[in-house]
Amino acid sequence: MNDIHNQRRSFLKTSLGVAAVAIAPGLLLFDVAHGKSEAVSAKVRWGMLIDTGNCADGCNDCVTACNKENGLSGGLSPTDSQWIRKIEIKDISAGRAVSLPMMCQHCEHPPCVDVCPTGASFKRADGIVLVDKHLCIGCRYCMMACPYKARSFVHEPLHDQNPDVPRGRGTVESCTLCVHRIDQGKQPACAEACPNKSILFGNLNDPTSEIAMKIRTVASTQVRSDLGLNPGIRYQGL
Amino acid sequence: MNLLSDQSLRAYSPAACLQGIARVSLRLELMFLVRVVMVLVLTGLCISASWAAQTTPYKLDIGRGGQCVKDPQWMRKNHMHLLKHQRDETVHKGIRDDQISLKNCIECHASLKDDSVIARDDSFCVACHRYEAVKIDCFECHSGTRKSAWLLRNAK
Repeated sequence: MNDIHNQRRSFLKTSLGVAAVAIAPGLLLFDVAHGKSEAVSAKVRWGMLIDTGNCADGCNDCVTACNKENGLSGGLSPTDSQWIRKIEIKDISAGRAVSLPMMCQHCEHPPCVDVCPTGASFKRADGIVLVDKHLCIGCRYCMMACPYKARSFVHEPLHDQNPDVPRGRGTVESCTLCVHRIDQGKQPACAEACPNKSILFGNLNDPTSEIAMKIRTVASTQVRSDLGLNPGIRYQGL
Repeated sequence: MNLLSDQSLRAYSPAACLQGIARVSLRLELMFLVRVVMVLVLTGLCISASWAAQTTPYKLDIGRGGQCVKDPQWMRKNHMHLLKHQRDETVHKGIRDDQISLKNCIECHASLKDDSVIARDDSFCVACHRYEAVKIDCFECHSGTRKSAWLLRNAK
């Protein structure tokens, strides 16, 4: 009698196991195939820590990767879009020079959102500051309000855009932190392209994430922290 | 009824009476014929309307085609509401439901010849919108090319 019970138990266990193994990949693939159906939440705050000590003078790989990913021309004329640019700063009295990438700092209190008359400029729940180009009227108030000169206006008609990155004439645009890649669970293009791994991307709100742990241990600064905007991009060694 | 009463004033002889009855029956027959013709015309209109609903009066390249959201007639009427709802969900909340995303529509409906929904006069979006005289500006920003084809072309 006992033997029969044991046999039945082991049969049920194995069949349950087999069923689980058969169904699980299907469920996972279903998730992958149907995209993300959940809204982003404020539990996450995306940010970056940029190590200026590692950022090589003259290296432009992050800018090139950004241009390729988002379909920017890479031109440097005043009417060309720039989402990220390399800048050199020098402490004149000491003579110390630093090279660093500068882009939208994804502020917690973004001035561009404050001044936008149509609600096109907005901050997503996970801290990414974006332009809803369906609502943007191209007034460019946000460009004037941004203390980091991070935004660009599209002056010319565009063709053959990346299907993941819609861009068009008459709207303002800036670094999206590669939101289309983040939503797929990938890193922003610049962070992935940096040869020295100087750009550390992650969730500032998760105390166990690499970026949060590093921010706790090394000195980092926010550019123009006096403005009280609490940018999500931090710089190390400035 | 007026006719009957007019006749009845002079209907003293049986002959006149018979004549009156014949006239009335002729009138009734004519009215019946008119009704039959009207019914036939209406049925004809209904049939041609339903036939028109199933075909389009212009040339349309539906690409790979297929039905993944709703039937074509429903989609013709309501696709813009789905797209507008989805665009706000995606841009503001990061909800990237593939089924009703513009990219997914293009993936199946782009032409098999040039991988686009906007390249030619009979392309999926262009043909209908030109016929209906509705100007859309989706593709001033969005790519009208099938993503898989775009990726292949830009892989280098």
